[in-house]
Amino acid sequence: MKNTILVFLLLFMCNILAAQEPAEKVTLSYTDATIKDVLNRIEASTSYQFYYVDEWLGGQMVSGSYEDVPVTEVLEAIFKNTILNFYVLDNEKIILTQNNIIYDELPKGFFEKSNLQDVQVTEEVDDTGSLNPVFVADERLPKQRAVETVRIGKETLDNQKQRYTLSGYVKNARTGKPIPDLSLIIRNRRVGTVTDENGFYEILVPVGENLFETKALGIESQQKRVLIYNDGQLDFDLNESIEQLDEVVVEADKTKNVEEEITGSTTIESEETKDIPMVLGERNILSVATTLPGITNAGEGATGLNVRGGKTDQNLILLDNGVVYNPTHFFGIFQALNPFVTKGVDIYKGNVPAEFGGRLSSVFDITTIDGNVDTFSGEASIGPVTANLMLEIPVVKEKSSLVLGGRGAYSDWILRSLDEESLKNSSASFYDIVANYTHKINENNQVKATGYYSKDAFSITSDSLYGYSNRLFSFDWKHKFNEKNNGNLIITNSEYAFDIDFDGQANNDFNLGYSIGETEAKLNFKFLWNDNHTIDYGISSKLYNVKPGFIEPTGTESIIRPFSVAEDRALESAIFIGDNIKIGDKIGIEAGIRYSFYAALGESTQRVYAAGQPRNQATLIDSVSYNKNEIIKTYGGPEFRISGRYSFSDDFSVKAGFNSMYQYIHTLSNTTTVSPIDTWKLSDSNIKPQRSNQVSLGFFKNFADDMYELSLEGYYKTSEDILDFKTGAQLLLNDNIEREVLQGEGQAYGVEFLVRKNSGKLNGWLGYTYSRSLIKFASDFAEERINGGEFFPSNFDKPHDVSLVANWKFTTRYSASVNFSYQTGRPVTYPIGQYNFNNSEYVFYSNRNEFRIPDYYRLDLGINIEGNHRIKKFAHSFWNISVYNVLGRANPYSVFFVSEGGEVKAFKSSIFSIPIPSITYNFKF
Amino acid sequence: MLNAKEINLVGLAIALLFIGCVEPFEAEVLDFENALVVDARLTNEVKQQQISLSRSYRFGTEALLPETDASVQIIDENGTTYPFVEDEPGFYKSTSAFAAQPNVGYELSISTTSGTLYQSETVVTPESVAIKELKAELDVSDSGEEGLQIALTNESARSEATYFRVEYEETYKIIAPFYNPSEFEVVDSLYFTIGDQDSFEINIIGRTEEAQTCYGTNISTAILLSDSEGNSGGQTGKTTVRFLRSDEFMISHRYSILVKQFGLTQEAHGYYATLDDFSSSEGVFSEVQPGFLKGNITALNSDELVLGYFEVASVNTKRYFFNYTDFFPQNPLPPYPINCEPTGAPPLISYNPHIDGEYIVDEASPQSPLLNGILSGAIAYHAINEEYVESEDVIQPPAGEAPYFVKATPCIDCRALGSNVKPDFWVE
Repeated sequence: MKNTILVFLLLFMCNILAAQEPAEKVTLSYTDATIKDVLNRIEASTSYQFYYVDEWLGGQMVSGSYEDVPVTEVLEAIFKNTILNFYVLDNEKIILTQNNIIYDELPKGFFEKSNLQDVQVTEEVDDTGSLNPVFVADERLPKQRAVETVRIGKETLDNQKQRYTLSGYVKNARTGKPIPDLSLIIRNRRVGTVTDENGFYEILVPVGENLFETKALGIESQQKRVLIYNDGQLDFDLNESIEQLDEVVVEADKTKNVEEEITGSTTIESEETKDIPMVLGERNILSVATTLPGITNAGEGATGLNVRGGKTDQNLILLDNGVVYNPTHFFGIFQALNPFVTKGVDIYKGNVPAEFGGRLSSVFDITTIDGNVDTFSGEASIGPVTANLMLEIPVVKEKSSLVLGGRGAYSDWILRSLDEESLKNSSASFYDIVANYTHKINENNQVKATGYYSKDAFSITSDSLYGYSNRLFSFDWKHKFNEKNNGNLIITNSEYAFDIDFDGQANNDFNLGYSIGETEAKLNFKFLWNDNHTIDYGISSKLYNVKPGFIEPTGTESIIRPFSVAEDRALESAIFIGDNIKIGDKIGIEAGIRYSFYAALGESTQRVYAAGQPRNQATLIDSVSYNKNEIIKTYGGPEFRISGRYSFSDDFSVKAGFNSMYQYIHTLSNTTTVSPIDTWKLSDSNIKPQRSNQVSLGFFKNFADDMYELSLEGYYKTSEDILDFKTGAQLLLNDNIEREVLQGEGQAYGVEFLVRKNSGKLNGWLGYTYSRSLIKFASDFAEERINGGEFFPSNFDKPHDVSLVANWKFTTRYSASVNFSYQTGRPVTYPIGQYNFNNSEYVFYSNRNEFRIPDYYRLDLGINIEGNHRIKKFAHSFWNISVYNVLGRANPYSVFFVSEGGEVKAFKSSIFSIPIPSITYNFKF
Repeated sequence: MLNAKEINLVGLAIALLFIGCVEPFEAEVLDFENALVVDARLTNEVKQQQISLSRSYRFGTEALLPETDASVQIIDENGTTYPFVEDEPGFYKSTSAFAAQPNVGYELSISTTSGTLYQSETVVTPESVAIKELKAELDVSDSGEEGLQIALTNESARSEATYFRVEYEETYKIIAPFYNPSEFEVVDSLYFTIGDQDSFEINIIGRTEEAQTCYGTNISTAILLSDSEGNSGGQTGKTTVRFLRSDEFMISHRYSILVKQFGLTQEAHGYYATLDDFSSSEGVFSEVQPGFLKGNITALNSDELVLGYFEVASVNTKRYFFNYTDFFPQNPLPPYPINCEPTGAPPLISYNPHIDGEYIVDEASPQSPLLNGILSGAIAYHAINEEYVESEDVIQPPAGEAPYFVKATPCIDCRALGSNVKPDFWVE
């Protein structure tokens, strides 16, 4: 990924007004008024607006009387005896500054890297991440003066020294105050120094001609030709400089790759993914994630991701802190997230911060954008399948904003235009809506509320309609207690539900449904103890409510008996603390511990089976009833999240980590890949939580001024009590689900290689992963064993995985993208023979996953055309033309054997078997 | 637990076929495991019960390997033993006629010549539930086609859930649209040989066998299950046995269906449901995880896999007849399964003497379309070519002329599509 970058506007100014348009004139008089009052009066009578911090104004009283004079004259008078300066911007904003220090500390590495000019995407700096900003001024300092030559020291004959000591004092020419942190560079010698806090400096200077240059924020640069003959002193009186920058780019996280302590983390910006060709032109951040090492899926059209050999239910997918159970539309082909409202995703696949928990494999922490608080703006797109509109509406100027996003599919036309007879009556549609509201109450308090809903509905036959939906609400209140302490209160509620409406010819019409809901409260605190310790701690608790399945008759004729599986409830809580420790420059440690605690709650009836026996009707020995909120069974334990970094140099580090997790809810699925009607089950007295431990080791190296990032990571992960099912298990509406469940162990390991180029005309990444994912279900009883109780490859065990994503910018407007991926074919269960039974042929199977479908490879191409970049233009447009699967390879997705008309036939299926072209039009306003 | 009968999720997923595809492929032959296949169905009908034993075979090969010389017996819970003897290779019949008694448990035991012993679990005969009604109704299929739905409903509601497997045997009347009372007769000619090639005399004779009206029969092969679990009052509801499109050839004249409802145990029903899941058309997106499907028979002294099931069922049957005109009085008849419009006139070739104005003699050479067509059964006599001139005095008529008009055999002779024997049960 490109570095995360922060763009903001900075203004540099001094008390000397640069040539401005003539200031508006005012007439006013005041006696013993506070400055604030005067400013308010000026604001009221002119179009000016002032920007300042109240505390600066103090209690000083001013008096004066003016008639039809420029505002600047009044201001000069009232600020005369203060330390405040003012600056008139665009003839409508007046910015006050205290002293002339805008940025009170120079970032390290400021000068060395100042020749970088790339303007990239925006993102807030993550304050847990490392920060090494680079400021880039688009406009250079004002004209330079003619270079003055200075001679230092008296040349002596006995002088044999090569270097002499030059010292001096630098002060502000206007105020006479010393200028600290000013850089003095000898350009022709490539040496330099910085003034101390009192403005003094000292430097060893070679004999002869030296070209001195001074540099500091807000200070005019000065050059001097200094001829050194002996030790001496050189003082500088410098003017403040005014410098209005249209845009300043702060590149943070540029060295995150090598500096962050935790292993196995990645960030993807939604905006970045717009150039990557995708199916039917739909931007898909989750598909982009699969091009990164360690993240795969079972194939196109397989809902869910497999992270480092984990099952699809082991990913915690958060949208503004709320859980999204199924973040995809249409069998996983499209993301159910609005790409314009989605800011980006932080993916943790190795070490997971202690604040997160509840899933074994990964956390996808997706955030939405914060709305524009200044101007109304938006973004829209039209593609072959969906249309999307996003609006950013300022509510209280500069304080709060509302973001609304809506996306809908009109894919029915595709289905209707088909020749395939059986699909004529089918329909498929989806939509998702998202809204958020951000409000900056004051310096110390900020709130954000997000609402989200996505819905899919499809019907293949005329008698049944399937639907599933995600609903989410989240509220986040950020509070800053003081400079060192801040915290968040987070409340979320989310629900996933599906239903099937059957309206057939016979008298058995029904509606069948499932839902899982959770409500969580979380308190998160951060304590910036000192430079070496940053402590995150908090507590969270969530309540689950699951309706594991219900069926009810529809219509008066239906003979279906209403039935529902008893509801499941549980409380999952955690307390966590993590410390980011720096030991010198070389060593960083992220040490976290999370204690999670789970309680399955009544009301419920739990079945008790004979110990050491397979669970079935015959071994059922008792049933125990629990009252509402009575604790049925508790689980819990400590989860360790420890990782460390040792830096060999600024751009090379090694990291190691240990991560352990608990997972208390499980998906029930008897299919080889995930389907939308898979259900989630809470742990109870018969089904234990899943656990995992992962160790990882990685080497991280940046090259060529951080332009290239290289990483090599290895991991070994074991998991326990992962779920699988007896052959042919019926999972829907099953009251005794524990009789179908098997719990076993998993083992995954791999090596991930990634090289990434973040800037320049050509950027992108190349990843290669070798990994294995094995599972084992052993038991004393044959009915509870799979593959003889030995380890066997999971459904998504794809050892070799190569991904290339590249973008070539021809000009600022035109770019071309290419996306290539190759994967070993996934394992499938293959027949080991055929037999005749009851007038028909059948195949039979024995061990699972002993055969692989052919390897998968695919090439996508895209061309992106940006509208022109004139800033003032009403709308900024963006065209994306892409072809998915250019090679038209029919990548097998599955093979299956059907007994039809008494004979066995073998079929293979593929999802996108031909090149899929598409055009999408986006515009921003 | 609700059976997935109505929730055919996998079927829904074909939605994306438009860009994806499902195509047949030549599956590789991988491992092979030799297992005994037990196809045993004991019913409550008094008869010589039959059990078939075979071996599994390599995927993709056709060979059916009977398990011969096994010793087979069924023992009921009262200790009565019913021995079976091999009737044909792999087919074993009980030595005496008997019926499964209600609520009595039965066990199957088998010992093969290799010395392996197999034993089934005890299966108790489920109670019999009579079919209340079987009828056809006009309906529209899932894919929007007009047709007839043949459905059954059961007799009585029970408090306990009942489980069924349904088979059918359909019989339909076929009337050859271009029936001709005469047919070709081909006789090896004693008089002519040309070189090494034999010659045949072709003659037109009156038919001696029925060839106008025949009866076709199909036996169901798909697994069709129903149950009353999840239904109020234990009703099984309506089970759709068959859907016939209005232009289905089989219902052109008169159609009859015999439905057999096998009352099963819950376990047997579950076995069939899973077998069906593993062998029916899967969706593009989600595929049921297959695995070894264990029946109720195990090998006692070996680790060998055993396929198949020992089913004890109470059978109830019902037959239903209807005519096409009962439902579609206005419609033209459904199209005949083959196009009968084209009339052929296969020419004679080379040496075509004609004797007494009765026989056409043609060479049995690959070049003779007439003779080849007749001998292969592809064509049948339709009419005399009036323009073909028989000439008394010409010993060798010119080659290349066609003496007869012919049509595809099924258009003239219904035996190509069915049997000309009217079934005993057939009622007009």
